[in-house]
Amino acid sequence: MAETTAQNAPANQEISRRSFLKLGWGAFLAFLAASAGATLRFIFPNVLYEPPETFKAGKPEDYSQGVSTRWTKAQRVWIVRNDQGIYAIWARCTHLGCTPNWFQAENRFRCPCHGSNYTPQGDVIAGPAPKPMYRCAIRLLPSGELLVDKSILENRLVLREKSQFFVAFAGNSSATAKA
Amino acid sequence: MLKKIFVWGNVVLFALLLVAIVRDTFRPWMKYPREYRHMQAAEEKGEVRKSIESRPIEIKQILATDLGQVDRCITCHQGMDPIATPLLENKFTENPYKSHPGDFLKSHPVEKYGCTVCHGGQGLATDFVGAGHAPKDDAQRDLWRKKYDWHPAEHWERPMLTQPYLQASCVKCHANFESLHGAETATKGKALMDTHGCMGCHQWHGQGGPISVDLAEETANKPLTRIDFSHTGLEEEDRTLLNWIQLHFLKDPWELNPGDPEAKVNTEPIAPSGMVNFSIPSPAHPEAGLELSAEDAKALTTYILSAQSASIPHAFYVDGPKEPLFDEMRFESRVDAGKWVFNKYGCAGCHGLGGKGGRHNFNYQGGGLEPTLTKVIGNYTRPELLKKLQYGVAVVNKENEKGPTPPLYMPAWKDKISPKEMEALMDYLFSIAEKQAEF
Amino acid sequence: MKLPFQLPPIPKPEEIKKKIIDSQIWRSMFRGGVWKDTPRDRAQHILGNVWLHLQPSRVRKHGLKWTYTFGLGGLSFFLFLILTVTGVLLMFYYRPAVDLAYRDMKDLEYAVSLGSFIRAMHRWSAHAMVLIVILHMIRVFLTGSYKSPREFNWIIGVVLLVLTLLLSFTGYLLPWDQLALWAVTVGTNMAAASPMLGAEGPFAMLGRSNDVRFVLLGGKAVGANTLLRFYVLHCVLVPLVAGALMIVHFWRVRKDTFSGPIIKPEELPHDKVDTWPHLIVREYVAALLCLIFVSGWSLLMKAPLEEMANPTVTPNPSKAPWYFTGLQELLVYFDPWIAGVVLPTLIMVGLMAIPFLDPDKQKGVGRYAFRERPAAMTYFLFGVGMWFSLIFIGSFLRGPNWDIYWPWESWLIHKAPPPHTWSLPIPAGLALVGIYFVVGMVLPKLSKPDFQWKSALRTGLLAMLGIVALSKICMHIGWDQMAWLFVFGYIYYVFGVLVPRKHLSTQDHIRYVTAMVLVLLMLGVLMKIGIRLGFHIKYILTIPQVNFNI
Repeated sequence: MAETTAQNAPANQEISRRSFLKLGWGAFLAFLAASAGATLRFIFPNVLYEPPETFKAGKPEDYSQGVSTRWTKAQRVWIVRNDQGIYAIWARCTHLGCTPNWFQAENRFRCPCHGSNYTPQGDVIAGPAPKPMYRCAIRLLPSGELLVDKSILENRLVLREKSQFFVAFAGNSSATAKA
Repeated sequence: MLKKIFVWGNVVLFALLLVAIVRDTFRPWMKYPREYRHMQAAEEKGEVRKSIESRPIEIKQILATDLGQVDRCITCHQGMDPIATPLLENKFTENPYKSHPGDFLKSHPVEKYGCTVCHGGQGLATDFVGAGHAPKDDAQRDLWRKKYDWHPAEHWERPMLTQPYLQASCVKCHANFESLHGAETATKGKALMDTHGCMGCHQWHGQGGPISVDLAEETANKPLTRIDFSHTGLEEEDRTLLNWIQLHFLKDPWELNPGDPEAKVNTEPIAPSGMVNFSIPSPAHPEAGLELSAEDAKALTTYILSAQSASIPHAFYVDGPKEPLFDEMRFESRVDAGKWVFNKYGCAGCHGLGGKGGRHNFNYQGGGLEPTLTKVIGNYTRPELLKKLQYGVAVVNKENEKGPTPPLYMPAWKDKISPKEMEALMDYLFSIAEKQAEF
Repeated sequence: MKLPFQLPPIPKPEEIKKKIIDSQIWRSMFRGGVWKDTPRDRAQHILGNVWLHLQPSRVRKHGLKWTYTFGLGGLSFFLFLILTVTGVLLMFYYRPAVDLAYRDMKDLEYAVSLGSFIRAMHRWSAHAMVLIVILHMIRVFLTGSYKSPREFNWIIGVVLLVLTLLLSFTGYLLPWDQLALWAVTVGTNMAAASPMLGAEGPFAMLGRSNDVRFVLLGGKAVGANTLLRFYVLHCVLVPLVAGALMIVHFWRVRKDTFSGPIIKPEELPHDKVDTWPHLIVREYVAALLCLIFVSGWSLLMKAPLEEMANPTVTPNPSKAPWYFTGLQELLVYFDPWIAGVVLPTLIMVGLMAIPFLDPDKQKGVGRYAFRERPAAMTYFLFGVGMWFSLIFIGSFLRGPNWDIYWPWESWLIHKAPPPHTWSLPIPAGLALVGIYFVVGMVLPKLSKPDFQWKSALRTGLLAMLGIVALSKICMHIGWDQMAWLFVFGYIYYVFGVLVPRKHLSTQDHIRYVTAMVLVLLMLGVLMKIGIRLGFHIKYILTIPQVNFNI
């Protein structure tokens, strides 16, 4: 007797058994999905305690031709000077993020983790690294100092030689060369 | 079979744990405080003696909170423990029992300074090797090898400093070190750096010539993995920062950094190091023997090591006299003033002491030697010389066109040498010029 | 002397024992009553105990043989228990913060009583557990114990292997030394190379500050957040998941019983013995020997601890823990997302697929039956051998700057930097890879599987020598390159043509294609390594737009 009433009951109510299940389980599944999403959001930190990504790197005259390791320890950046100007390479192997070492005698950067080799331009000449090393944005402040910004990066061949990533010497260098 | 394994296995397991416990309970450091207690007690009587004898044998540490450092050195070196030795004085002469020599601890209270801020080494360690003890000479090294199975502490880049390198630690806080008793070697190192013109190519905290590395910021703080020891011939044990720096004065730097002059591994030839070979007599004064003696090399190394970074709070620093400015100096003559400028900016680094005798510059036109200033200055007019000093010669002429770029070049000094200094410098330079016969 | 009262008679030990066992307190805890060593007692001992009842009450004799299981599964769990105990102890002295963690490690080494020993136990047990779990998997494969109805448990086992590696990897960061920081930097950068989810992978949609690496690290670089995250993962999350899966794994073993050769159902009762004491004593002895080994090893060898972590200085060389040096070596030859994401995924999927690829459901179960399952055995052992060879190269033959140093060479000597490498142009690369797979698929089907091994091997040898001589004459390759070409060519001929022709070509289409693709991929990895080492070709096929570099 009780069973029959239990079976007939849903029909009399406003919510049918089917929609009851649909709504109930649907709401529960929605709850599960939402809590998964909320948990995912939760584990993304909103504030970071990481050092700023820009720094002043002295004057261009302070660098001689070639690779300078002056900022590797503090800022993880090499400043490289060539005939035309100055650029900054982010000292991070494009393979898996180790810090390569500069070998003056071999004119190469060599990564200790998987053996990638780079030229002073940051191009790969051996080892597994798939891309050239990134260059940081660099510009000359009115004070004559260089400002390096590690948050803006570029490693494509032509673009990295453009103004944002390269401080070209003006007439100064040619004058120096002639003198 | 299984029964046998069961019985003996359980016995062996218990024995192993026993070994671990015994080894942990009787540690090598324990015999030193015990012996010290014994030695101290032998001199006392009655209650005092009893209290000494009841002193516990334990790991003792100094919490130098301001310096963020914990030092357990006094666990063995009980002569410097303010509890075991309240006056910090005893009459023992042997390490680890003896008290601290000199009166340094009076001005540097051990509770505040700890030990490693000056001595280096690993303060947290409680064994001989781990503490980073460094032998003062080969005899001591051999003795320690026998006695303590000594080797350099693994994975610890700053071993203890022996004399005279220990003086580097004075310079860390004392800007007035040149007037300090006990910092003579460091003082000598700084003086040598000035006279030999290191700052012509190198910098010291950003000040100096741009040709090579910053000795204070880079060299003194170079991590060992960044040093290419492969050309030094040093044994693994000797591959320390100290030896790396010192070798630059004792060996030909070309050997340490040979470059790739014939482009064997690269498409582009690389010149060897441009640094002066100090292990031969100076071309300017060949009669004076080696340009730098072994003692000089130690002094220079000491001074360079003083720039090792340490997180020391500002309150620990002692001000020194200000570096004299050109305008405040009094000189006998303009030439003297110019000589002072010549030394201050390290011109001797490339052009030799007093401008006599050029240094080696690989693949530089004219036999790979920097020109001897005394011979060439006479060829210039004053405006020509001024321009050269101001703008430098960034691109130097190669002897062999296909060879590597010479490592040394004349930097632009216009932002670094003030106009007044420049005038005095030129006066000096013209004064040392040898009169050339007119063609 | 006479006492003012009468002493009760001193009871005999047996009587005391009986009294204790019959007491209400004892009976409330242990229900068995006095032990009479009847079969009922033995069964009750297993079934009535929550810890022991994960075992069946009776087991087949076959499963007790040392040379059958080597106790590897039990030992994996026992090492997990050692790790739990030592790990909990270590947690009393360890704080997961960047300025404290390393100092706490030093305290454990130098100041804490038995700290160094317990840390060494934890470290070495972790290494042992990885090794034992791998060996357990190999054993289960070789005896065919994954076959029906145990397919699903094999899959859980593969997941548990991954979790074991993950536990080890997350624990690696906690000492906060150089070894830790750089292993984790490399590991998480592999995650950043995964397609779509990683900032540096192909089809990247996310940036450096919201990709999968960012979640793992809790920042853009390894730092304080990372240490805390890995601590939570290592101490709570992964052990919980692994523990839950272990329960399922054991439960399945109990339900499906130990694998063994198939016998007639009526013989089964005679083949069985009581678990208590026969199996339990063996498990105890295996655990005992394992504990002795780990304790002895920990007494002799301290756990390594390098310099404090420094995010700007990479040690030279920088090596992963041994079980990842194979992967590290693989990373030298392929793009990070191929070697770090695709290949490991393929290995795991390949392992999970094994029970379903195997056409014979009951062949060679419960025995090391090499003759009955030649193809399965060959390729599995080939893969395992390759993996351990890579581990060997990475661990013992690589020195500073990841240059090759032979074991007898000192790391102090100077090695010339590696020669310049070059990549094939895209059309040539596409053609080569295409030909490799198409021809590789067809070759085993070209002739009949009933060939003679001896003559086929001889023909292949002569053909290979001919090809090598021809390339020497036509392309002027060097002598060492001839050797590379010959060795790798011959390996391909045997394992890519002859074995599939003999054993795979008769299978149905789906199985043949799947198995052949996996075989060709495995051999292809090997071929690529040879091409890099022998011919300085960096990548055969490189499509930079999608980071596809192989």
